[in-house]
Parts: sequence; structure tokens; C-alpha cells
Amino acid sequence: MKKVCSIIFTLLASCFSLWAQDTTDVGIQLQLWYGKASLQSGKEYPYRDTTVQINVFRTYISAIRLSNKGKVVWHEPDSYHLIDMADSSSCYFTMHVPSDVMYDTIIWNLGIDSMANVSGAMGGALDPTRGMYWSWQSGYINLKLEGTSTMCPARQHEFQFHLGGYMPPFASVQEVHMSTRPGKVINVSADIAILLNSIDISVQQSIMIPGDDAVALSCIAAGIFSVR
Amino acid sequence: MKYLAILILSFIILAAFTSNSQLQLKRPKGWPAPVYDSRHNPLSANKILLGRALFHDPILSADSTISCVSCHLQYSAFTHIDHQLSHGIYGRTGRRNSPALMNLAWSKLLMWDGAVNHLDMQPLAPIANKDEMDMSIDSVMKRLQRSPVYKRLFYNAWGDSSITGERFLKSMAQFMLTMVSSNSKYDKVMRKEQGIAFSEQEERGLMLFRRYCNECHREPLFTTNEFANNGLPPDTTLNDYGRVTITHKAADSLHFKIPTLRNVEYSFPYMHDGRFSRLQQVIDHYTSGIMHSNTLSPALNAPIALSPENKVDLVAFLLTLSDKAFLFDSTYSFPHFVFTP
Ligand code: HEC
Ligand code: HEC
Repeated sequence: MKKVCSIIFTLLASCFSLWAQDTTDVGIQLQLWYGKASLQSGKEYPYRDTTVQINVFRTYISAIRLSNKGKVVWHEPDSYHLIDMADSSSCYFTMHVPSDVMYDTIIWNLGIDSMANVSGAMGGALDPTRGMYWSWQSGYINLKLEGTSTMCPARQHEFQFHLGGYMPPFASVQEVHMSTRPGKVINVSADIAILLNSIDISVQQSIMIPGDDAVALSCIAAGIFSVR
Repeated sequence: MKYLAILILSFIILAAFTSNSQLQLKRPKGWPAPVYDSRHNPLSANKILLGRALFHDPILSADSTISCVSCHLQYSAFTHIDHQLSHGIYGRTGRRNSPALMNLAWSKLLMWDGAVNHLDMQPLAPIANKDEMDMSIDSVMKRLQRSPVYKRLFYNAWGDSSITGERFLKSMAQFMLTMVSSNSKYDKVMRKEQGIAFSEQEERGLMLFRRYCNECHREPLFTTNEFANNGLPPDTTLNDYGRVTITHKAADSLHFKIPTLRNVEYSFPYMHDGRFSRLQQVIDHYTSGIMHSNTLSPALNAPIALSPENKVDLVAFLLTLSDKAFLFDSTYSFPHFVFTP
């Protein structure tokens, strides 16, 4: 047994050094904004004629690919990242991209694909204890946006949008395409004001189930990202 | 990529040195392949034991009074007998009858309406339900992390004592996968075991069953694990329309999961709302209670005419699906020994 192990070890170790030579670390830095101000919990931001505070913004970014002239040239294996405004370390991560890959576009999914939604318990970013899994009906929550606004007639002026759903016709995962250039770090901005301004929270304070509303808002959420 | 290599490497080393040898999912002869893919969750004795401890432990409920067993008792084929609707925490009543649990490895979707899409994910529903266990899954994890017993059980099962949601769910699933009922008189007759045969009455019941019931309660699992409208008029106090609430497709209105009929002798009351307490009432429903609607299963469009003798024969056959070995199998019982080291 030991012998087999050591052979496998050397084999893997050599593959390893090969890979190591071939890849460059490319960082993804997400910056969360509310319009022109950086997003912080508890801070007041203008919303229509009143103000809002954002308490929770969490979302999954998955299946990151790089493409060149319309052709996907690389995709990150096991690509699931949970972005959380309450945890700045979640807004930066590195990918190990082959050094010779040329790309002009970065693509990712906002949310979790249907395959991962039906494959049982998973760990890491997908662990169901991360607060992004519905309990009463199986499925990941792709995006959570919660906060308060004086304009919001609900209890304690709270609004809650939990976007998810993987079954057609209410599959809410979205593709995000952004042009970029090869470099050490790709800086991506996400402007939550775009999302919030698309909703009239005096009329709609919550989305908690898969459906047309969740799909519509997910489409808008896909548009909050841009490479700077 | 580097991380992947390290992962593979440590996995190989781990696999070579742990004594936690792998078990196979039980598949009785002549049964279809299980739906549950155990390649993503390879079974081991210690993981099953951990799942078994969790299944019996009220630590999963907010006030530590309710365990899975509170609603899924082994001696009644893992259902809650006598209660039409399940009873949970703080004496609250749920909205549905707790189903009997067995042969779950063959079930694609769980719950009467198929709301849960994988056995791994099933425990999340009762734990978070405010009428059942009323606990958030991360507080469950925190409780388990504080427990020396569970530190040890997780260590034995998973090779280190880190307690994660994934490990918790996979261990519970493993225990539930072991609940296989395949030793009823029916099974023994089908396996042509020596000295065991149906009585003439049971034989007649089997013929009736195959003619009228088998399309949905299909042998050998006694369910297709699909959803159907079997003509129950909706209870106007519950307004439960079943599968449509999940799929939003009008065609699924009043569709409920077809339950297995194995151990049906013990799993009363019957149906999603527990409206019938005796098998006789169930049969009367199929002969004279069917409510016609545009989602009624075509299999029940034509009336089923059964004489009183026919009904008795049919029930006699259903009783051959009782599996005492399953109901009294001590490998499912409360594992005292893990809590008293
Ligand atoms: C308060 C009672 C209650 C408790 C506690 C409870 N259950 Fe259930 N269980 C139910 C009811 C009721 C259903 C059906 C619910 C539905 O269809 O909406 C159910 C359904 C199930 C099913 C689906 C069976 C099928 O064939 O579709 C499984 C599996 C299950 N429970 C396992 C568990 C586990 C594991 C636990 C402990 C973590 C647990 N239950 C705790 C009442 C309970
Ligand atoms: C069209 C499919 C279909 C046919 C045919 C059918 N059933 Fe059912 N059966 C169901 C469904 C669906 C349920 C659950 C309905 C509910 O709870 O709303 C059920 C429930 C039951 C139950 C209750 C089991 C439990 O644990 O609650 C029994 C017993 C039963 N059927 C017996 C029979 C018998 C006997 C026949 C033949 C005379 C038969 N069924 C024919 C679909 C069918």
C-alpha cells in the first residue's frame, strides 16, 4: 500500500509542478457600490424621494469562464463563490489561469446551475448551512437583498428579496458577460442601486419564492456588474 | 488546480489508511436500480451510525423535545400513527400526515408534493419548519459542535471532527438509505422461499391488485414514486392542492406522491391528510368515492367495481406486504451505546 501511495505521490507531484509552471493567478476583486458610494451595512443611501439601508447583500457567482472572440477558452473548475457584503474577504478570490490563454471577455453565472441544485448535499460555498438554501422546498437562493426603507410599508419598514428557483419556467440563474483584458486582477463593480431602483418598494417588499417576479429581478441583477 | 491536486492526493492517502471501509447500498433481487447515487456519498458503518444517532436525537429541535422519531416511529414503519396531521414542537399541528419511511433510495422526489428533490436535503425541511422542529440549520451545527459525543461520532465517520452541513446531511441520508423493507410474505413468495405460499384468498387479492392498483402502486416497490390525483375530494379546511404548489402547472393540481403500500397495515392513518384510518375505507374510496376532475388520473376514470368478497381479498393481499423483520430490526433503533460511553 505504501509503495503504491508513494508512486502516486510522485506522479501527482510531477503533474503539479507542470501545472504550477503553466498557470498565473488572476484575481477577481468585487467592489460593491450603491451608485457612486461604496456599499456599507447600516449606511443611508438615497432611494427615490427617501432613503434606504442595505443590511444583507449576498450572491453566488459560479461557472466562471474566459472567452476570446466569442469562444470559451478556459473555465474555472468547481467554480462556486459566495459573495457577501458582510465579509470583505469573500469579495476577492484568485483563479489559476493557464499563462498562455488569451481572453477578451469574462463570463459567469449569477446563481447556481440546475445540476448543482439537484445533486444532494455539497460542501464549501455550497454548504446548505451558509444561509443560501431554502428549507421548505429544495433549491439554492441565488441572491439575497435585505434592508429597510421608510418608504417600505411592511413591518419595521423591512424589505427582503430572495431570488432563486432552478426549475423551468422559473429558472433564475443568469449569465453575465463583461469585456476585459488579461491582467493580474480583474476589477468588477456591482452597483446595488441599479437593482433597488428597478423595484418600487412601496409596492413590493418581498420575494421569497421562485416565480415570474424572481426571474424578472434576477435579469436586472445580472446587469449590475461591470468591469472597470 | 494546485488545490485540486492536493485534494486528490489527500483523498488517496485518506482512502488508503482509513479503516472506514465502504458498504454497498442494499438492492434486493429483482428490484430496479436505486435512484440515489451513492457514488457522491459512499456508505460506511460509522456514517450510518452517526445518521442513526441524529435521527433519534431531539437535539435537532429548538426546545430539544422533538426528534425525527417523534413523527417517524419504527414500529409503525417510520410514520406517526393515530395522528391525521403530524404533531410537532410546542404541541403544534402540521399541515400533512407524516408518510411511512422506507426504500427511500428509490424515491426521486420527497414529500407529498415533491418539494424536496434529494434525500440529502430532506432533514432541512422539518428542522426549519416552525411547526415541526423550529430550528435554523446553523444553530443545529453550533449545538453539535459543542457536543463531545458528536465530535467523536463525526471524527469516527469523517476522519476529523469538523462538523459541516454537508457531512450532517450525508450521514442522515446514509441512515435513511439503510431502511429497506423487502422481507414481507409477498417478497418471500416472490423469491419462492420454501414452505411459503399465498393463501387462495391472498392470491385472489393479488389478481385484483394487479388489475386495479398496480399501475400506480407498482410492484416491487408498490409505488412508481410519481405523482397522481387519485380522486380524493380536497379538504376545504386545508386547501392543499399538492404538487401544483411546487411546479405551478395546472395539470399537477391535486397530484400527490403515490405512497408505497408496503407495511400499509401499520402506517395508518392514510393519505396526505390522514383522512382514512382503516384500509376498508381506502378501498371504499376507490370503489365509490372518486371525485372526477380534469386532473384525475386516467387509471381511475373507469369505475372500479368490487364485491364485498373482493374487498376482503384485496385487503388480505395488502396485509402480505407487512415486514415484521423491518419493523423490529434493531439496527434502526435508538443507539444507546453512543450516548453512554
Ligand atoms: C413534526 C413531525 C415531523 C418531524 C419532527 C419530522 N418529520 Fe419527516 N415528515 C413529516 C411530514 C408531515 C412529512 C410530509 C410532509 C409533506 O409532504 O409536506 C414528512 C416527510 C418526510 C420524508 C419524505 C418521505 C417521502 O417518501 O416523501 C422524509 C424522508 C422525512 N420526513 C424524514 C425526516 C427526518 C430525517 C426528520 C428529522 C430531521 C424528520 N423527518 C422529522 C413529519 C415530520
Ligand atoms: C392513479 C393512481 C392510483 C391508483 C390506480 C391507485 N392508487 Fe392508491 N394512491 C394513489 C395516490 C396518489 C395516493 C396518495 C393520495 C393522497 O394522499 O392524496 C394513494 C394512496 C393510497 C393508500 C394510502 C397509503 C398511505 O400510506 O397513506 C392506499 C392504502 C392505497 N392508495 C391503496 C390503493 C389500492 C388498494 C388501489 C387499487 C384499488 C389503489 N390504491 C389504486 C394513487 C393510486
